[in-house]
Amino acid sequence: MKKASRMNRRGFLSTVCAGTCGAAIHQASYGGSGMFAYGAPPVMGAMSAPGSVFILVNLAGGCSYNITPIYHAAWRDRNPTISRGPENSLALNGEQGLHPAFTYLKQIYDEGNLALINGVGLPSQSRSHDEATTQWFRANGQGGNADGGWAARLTSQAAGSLFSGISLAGTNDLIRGGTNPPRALSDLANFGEDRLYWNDEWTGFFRDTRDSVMAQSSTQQTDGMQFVKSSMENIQRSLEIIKAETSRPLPGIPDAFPNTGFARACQDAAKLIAAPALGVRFIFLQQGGYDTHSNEINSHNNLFGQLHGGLRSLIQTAKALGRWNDVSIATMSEFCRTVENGNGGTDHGAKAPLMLMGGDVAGRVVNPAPSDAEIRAAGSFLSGYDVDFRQIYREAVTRMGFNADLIFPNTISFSPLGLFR
Amino acid sequence: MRTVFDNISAPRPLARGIHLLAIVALCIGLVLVPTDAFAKKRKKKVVRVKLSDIFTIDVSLRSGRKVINQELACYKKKPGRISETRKGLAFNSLDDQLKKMRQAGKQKSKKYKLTARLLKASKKDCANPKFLALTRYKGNFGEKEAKILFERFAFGGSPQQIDRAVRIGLAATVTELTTYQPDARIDAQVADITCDTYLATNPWNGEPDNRNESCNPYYANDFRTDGLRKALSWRMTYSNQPFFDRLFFWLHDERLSVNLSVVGSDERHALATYVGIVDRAARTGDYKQYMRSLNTDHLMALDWLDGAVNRGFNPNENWAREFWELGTTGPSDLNGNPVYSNFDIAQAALAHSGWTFVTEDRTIPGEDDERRFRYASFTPGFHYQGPTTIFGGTPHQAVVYDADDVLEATFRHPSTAESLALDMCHQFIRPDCPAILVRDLAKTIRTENYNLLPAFRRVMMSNAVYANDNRESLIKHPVELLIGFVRQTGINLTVDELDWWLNELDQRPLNPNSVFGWNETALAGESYVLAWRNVVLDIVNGLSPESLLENRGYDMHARYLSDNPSALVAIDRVASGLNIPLNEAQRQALEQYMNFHRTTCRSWHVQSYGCTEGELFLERRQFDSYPQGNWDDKLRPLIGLLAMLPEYRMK
Repeated sequence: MKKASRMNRRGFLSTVCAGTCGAAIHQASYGGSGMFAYGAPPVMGAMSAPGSVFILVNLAGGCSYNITPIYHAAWRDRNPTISRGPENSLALNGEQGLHPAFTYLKQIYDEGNLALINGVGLPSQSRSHDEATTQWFRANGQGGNADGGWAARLTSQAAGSLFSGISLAGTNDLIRGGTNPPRALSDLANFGEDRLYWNDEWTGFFRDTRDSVMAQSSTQQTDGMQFVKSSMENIQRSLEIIKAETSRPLPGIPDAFPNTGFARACQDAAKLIAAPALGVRFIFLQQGGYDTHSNEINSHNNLFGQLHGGLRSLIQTAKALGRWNDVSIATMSEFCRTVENGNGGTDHGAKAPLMLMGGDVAGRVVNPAPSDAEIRAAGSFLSGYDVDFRQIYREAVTRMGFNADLIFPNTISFSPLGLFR
Repeated sequence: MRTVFDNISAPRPLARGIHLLAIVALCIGLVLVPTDAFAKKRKKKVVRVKLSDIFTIDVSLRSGRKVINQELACYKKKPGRISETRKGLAFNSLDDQLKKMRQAGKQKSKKYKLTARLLKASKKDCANPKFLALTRYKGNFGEKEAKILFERFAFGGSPQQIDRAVRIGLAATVTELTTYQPDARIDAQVADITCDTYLATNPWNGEPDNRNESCNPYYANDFRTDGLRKALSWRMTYSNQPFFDRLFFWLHDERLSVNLSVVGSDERHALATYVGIVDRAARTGDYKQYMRSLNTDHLMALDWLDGAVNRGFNPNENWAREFWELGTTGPSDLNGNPVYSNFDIAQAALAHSGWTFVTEDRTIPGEDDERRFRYASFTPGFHYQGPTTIFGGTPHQAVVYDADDVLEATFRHPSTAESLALDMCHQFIRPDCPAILVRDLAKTIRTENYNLLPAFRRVMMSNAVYANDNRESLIKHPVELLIGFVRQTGINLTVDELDWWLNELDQRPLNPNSVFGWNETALAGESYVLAWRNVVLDIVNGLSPESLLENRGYDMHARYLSDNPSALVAIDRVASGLNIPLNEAQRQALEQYMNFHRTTCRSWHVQSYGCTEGELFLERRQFDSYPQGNWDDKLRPLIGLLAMLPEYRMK
């Protein structure tokens, strides 16, 4: 057996962390909307401007508002041990700042390339991980039946490339559906299929026979079978091309990618950006662990440190490649959290801050942080929403040249926030 | 002001009379006909439906040489079509469509005739859909059906199990599968692996393993966490009671889940207690008792879901929420309405409060030093003293004082049985589960006072499980892939191999990444396709027949080729063992693989094969199944190749 000499493929899969399984469980394709589970939305012709890439970073588990600390007295009072003031955070203005881990992101803000949007959520924001993640991934709106996830609807419009969307955090509702769904990978470094008897001739015949037997299958085409088959076909086509395109070394940057799971995923994202031949337009990254019911301050220091390390090197690489103006990076988290619960943690809440970065982003604090009065009047969490998250992503995809009406149906009435220059 | 009438010349008297008549007729017409017609149009009746209330059927009609396949929706026993509108889904029954065509005088149109035929062909299935029926299956229970039963409820069956099932019939097989009988052999092995991750002796050749240690039975923390995990994988693979292990996996890893790695070394005893709770639930089927036990469980409620820091004066909602969302009612009912509000969760959290963790040093027989223990303790001062109200403003409103009250009120709520039934249906019957089926199953669960075993028996013996429409509709979990592979092929894997390969597939039991457990669809995505292929290749490459025979008593030749069969017979035998249906074209492609070798054309090949030197060509190397033949070169890849097909991922 060659086990010992092989790399542990758990690493290959490990980025599929909390949120992936969480996000995917009870999927609407199973039960709720089975009929439309794998259908196809309308496909537009190739219409997007070449090059621009949208990177969505999911802070899975529900990230609290302390990612962008609020300085109001009410907030400090209600979060006695976990909130921060200007003295121990990176102030953006008189009422709000960034967590101290985000030194490089503060620099990006100072360069005018980071926008902070407060009070982001959606109508009927669920406080269940599963439901809320599904709401954010599918972005259907009330009673909507749009097919699959919004990323799949986006890449359906970028039909020219098989790799227009890549998830570096496995499969989930966000990327399922449509005519050209994003490919689900985990780790480019360990990407590949083993050989039969460690011999190329044997392997080639084996694989060709397998693919031929698969192609001639006449088994009943259930939705599940179609999904499995398409996964198999996709991985087949993706394997060689991606490997070849992403094997080139990245340019040197001031701060090397740290050795964390999230940073490795960021490095893979950088490789995808550095391979324009792949035509990647959407990348999904995920960092789990934000379900901080207790001991939030330590968890945040650790999580934000890793998040910052990965994003810093990714942005530096994009700049070194001369592609920073083509890249937008947006965060998401299925919900925000309550005020401190007495265990140094927070429970499930609603509206949240969202960060958008990019060379073309009109950086600023877009709307004010929740006011002192609002915080005082609130129950244990900030309910409702000030900005529908789809409004933000809608502007980003419009900027990229996509038809946002097809990606975010029933959202046409939003007035622009002016997030891009 | 000029009008259009200005250009019309004045009519003559006769014409004027005709005009007048025409205007009168028009007015009468406007009064009589259009009023009615417009009114009808305005009041066009749209039947709005919810997805959970409909199901679809496939109808095939023959029209000359053509076969017309149509998918129809059924709603309230009527066939029809579904369309998406701005306000949601609209249902248009075939009856109504025919009626409209008749009103429009289109009885002789092709569309009318086709619709009438579709109605005739679908009426019975819509009124009485067998694939959704939990009525007793009375069809043939042959090898095919036995394999479905074992793949869905028992990780897959060995040839012996399938043979026996066919011999004794469906009812007896279900009784055997669902009647728990202690198995001293497997229990001893589980205890042995749990202690130190090793078995004292190789189970196949009896050789002792010198890495094996013994644990102190008086010291509840004296075992390995990874040992417990490995022991459970072992039991799932080799137990004679696979249904209970499948049920264990469903209860723990697919519903309300906890990751075993959260506990410290001073509270490892909580792992064993937790596994005991899930085991008891699987073996007795008593779901209510299961949730009662979890309500105060150190690992699940108190540690993993923060129950031990939930104070009456400072509540933490985590357990209160997941108790409902993942453990009992689910967040919404079958009509999509929320079962509970955030206020209900806050109220329930108060009722659940009162637990905390305490640490103390204890003297243990057989241990030199005192050992530290962390355990859960109920502290009345931490418990919210007053009553709270849950499910407020609904018919299920209840005043509760503690966790037991919450449990009782929750199990009186109809959504608890429905949520369980929905999950059972998704996992064991079909991915989309209409309300008709769920409500029927929920009724059984309620009637049996939340004992799941009768409900499982009913499902296992139902038409729904064996209906053609539901076959190949469920995606196997990676655990089912690997354990099923071992059970079906009989290739014995060691404790470490099982754990290693389950890790490669990112699904080690009791190690889910979140409280939601696993999702088989996510685990069938592209990266996992690759992971499974590589695991299969690891097995094929790494386990030679010689080593299997020598170390594990597994005779691959005897299992598949004892009668020295042809390549085609061997192919059919392996495919049948893995429950993969092959068509003729697939068999031929595989036969070619078995009887040829693809290699580079060398100078000595040119004359015999007419190939071009340096290019790949197929050289005939007849499959030889005799013990001294080349059978191993092709048999192992054949097994691997079939296990990689999409059909093997489905059940």
